[in-house]
Amino acid sequence: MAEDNKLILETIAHSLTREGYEMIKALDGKECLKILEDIDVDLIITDLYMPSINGHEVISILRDERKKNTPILVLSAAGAEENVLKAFELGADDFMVKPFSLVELNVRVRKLLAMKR
Amino acid sequence: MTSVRYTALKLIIPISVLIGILSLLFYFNTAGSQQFTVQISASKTPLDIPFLAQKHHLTDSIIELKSENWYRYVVGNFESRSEASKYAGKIARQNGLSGAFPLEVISGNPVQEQKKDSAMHTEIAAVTTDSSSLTNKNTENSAIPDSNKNQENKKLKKKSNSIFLWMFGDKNVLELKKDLIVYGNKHIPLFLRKFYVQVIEKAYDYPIILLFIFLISIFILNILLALLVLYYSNQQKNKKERYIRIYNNLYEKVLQSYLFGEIDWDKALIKLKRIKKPLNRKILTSVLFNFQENLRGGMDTQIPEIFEKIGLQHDAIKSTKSSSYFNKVQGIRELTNLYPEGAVEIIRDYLNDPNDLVRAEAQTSYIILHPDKPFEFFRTLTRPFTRWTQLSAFYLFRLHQLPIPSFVDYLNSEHPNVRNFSLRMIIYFQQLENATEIIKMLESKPERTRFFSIRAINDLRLDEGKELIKKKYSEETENNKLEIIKALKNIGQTDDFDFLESIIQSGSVSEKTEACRSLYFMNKEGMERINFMKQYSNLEIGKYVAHITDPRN
Repeated sequence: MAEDNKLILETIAHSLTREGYEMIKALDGKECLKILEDIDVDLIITDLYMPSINGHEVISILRDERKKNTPILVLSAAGAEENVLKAFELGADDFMVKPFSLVELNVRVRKLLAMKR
Repeated sequence: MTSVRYTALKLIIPISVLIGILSLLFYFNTAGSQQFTVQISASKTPLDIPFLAQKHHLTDSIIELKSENWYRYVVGNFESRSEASKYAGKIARQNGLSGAFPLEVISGNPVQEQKKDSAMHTEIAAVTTDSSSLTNKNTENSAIPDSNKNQENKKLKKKSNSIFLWMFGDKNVLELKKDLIVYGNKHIPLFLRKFYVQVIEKAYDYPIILLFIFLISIFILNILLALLVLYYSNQQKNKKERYIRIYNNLYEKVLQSYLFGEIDWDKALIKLKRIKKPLNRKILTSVLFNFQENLRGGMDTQIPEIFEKIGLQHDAIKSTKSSSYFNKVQGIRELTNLYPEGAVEIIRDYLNDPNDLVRAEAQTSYIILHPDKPFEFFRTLTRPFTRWTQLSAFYLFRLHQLPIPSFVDYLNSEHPNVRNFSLRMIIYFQQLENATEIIKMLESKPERTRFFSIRAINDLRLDEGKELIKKKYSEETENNKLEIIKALKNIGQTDDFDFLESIIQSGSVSEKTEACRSLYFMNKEGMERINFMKQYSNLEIGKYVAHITDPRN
């Protein structure tokens, strides 16, 4: 998960860990890409507006080079139509707008992982 | 503030290095360094150096050396005895100082010259220490012929000196001067001593130099003081930031554990340390705010509960009563997000606040807190509805998908910006109901309201408004005229061709361009009409058509 808001990152990580997932955390897009160079993950959750590299670029790079089949869930407060459309065009599989429900997030994560399988 | 630290280092390091070098030089200079000078006089009691200089017409600075209860008066600074002897010979010839002799100085102390002792004694009787006798000596020496220039210089110096003496009191001034010279003789290295005495002499001759020295010292002191203050403030700021970081992390962990049900409220309250301190309460509020801003669902109700349990709503209410607009805005925002039931009543007081930012925040909060009737405050609005609030409101609707009210209800507001905003929302959300109310806006006095009304007729394809906008065309402003012509592209028909043609024949360039565009793109007949005009009129229609059909336009 890539999220620059530390509190939300920890909260989501805590929630998903309780569901039985193993979480790897990144505070910005650059860190996220660096982690993904060495590790294969089952799902990527990313915010859009982050320091250094933003979420759109992360999706674009992942889809161009590395993780063509890994589901990407975008979780952002920037829920304007153009942001949502752009995220899907670049290759995101799902988009959630903040504020969001943790229960809903868990359901979407489960669904995306099931689709991947 | 790394810039403060850097500035302080930039100054402190070179100053320290300079002090170090000077100390070393002083040490090396005074530790066994050999110098030569020329003694001109000696006495058991201190003599008046300016008097000595005047008496013997010496331009070089005279320095006083004390050794074994003798006050020796020397001039010059030489590397070798021979140089000193040469100089002694010169001043003996030119200045009548036949008793002058070279003197060796080691570490600032004169080495007794046995054969010249008699020369010391011969000078004693000629000299007096009484400063008041200076004037007497001056008259004594008035017989000595001086050039006019020298006399003028002396007069100038006397004048400056007398002002100085008048300002600070003669006795204190001369005492201070003597003390400074004595201090210099004792502590300043020999190679700097001459310069030092010269500076003192010049400063006393020209007090303005003293003033400059004083001002420069004050300036340097001020800089140092400012740096100290900045450094201290920086330290305090870093300390505060560290404190906030620590408690922020603590409160986040505790609240997370509580929200996930891992600990109960009592345990959480124990772990939430120092929540009585105002700063800690602010930190706790910001953590709760962060949660509330980002999370929904079950936590939606839990977070306001925590806010109320700890009593943080009182802090927020207190903030809204602050004289600072920033605190008011902060308080309104906290209440809206974390104490919505209480916020409803409180923010009413700020909907017409004179401060734009407070008003904007209160109005935005009202929209959030009243999803069923978000703009009811328009009815009691007494101040402008700012553009920023309009944008915020629009953003809230789009982002949070709030139910859209019927903006037609607000078209009769007495505030033009409310009417304009309503028209824009009607256009955006395509609210076609009550077209007559929209068309009525064509009669509004403000030009901008009429503009939006014409645009609404265009965008909503209100055919019933067409004849009215044509009728009003000639009275309208240039912007509104263009808007009317554009509207005809969408709602116009063949009976509007003559109207557009008249504009092409007599309008301004912009009007002609838009009229051509409307006619050309209205329908097939319109295109044919334009092509006909292109062929048979001399209005250069071809150019306009080329422009409007260019995809770049």
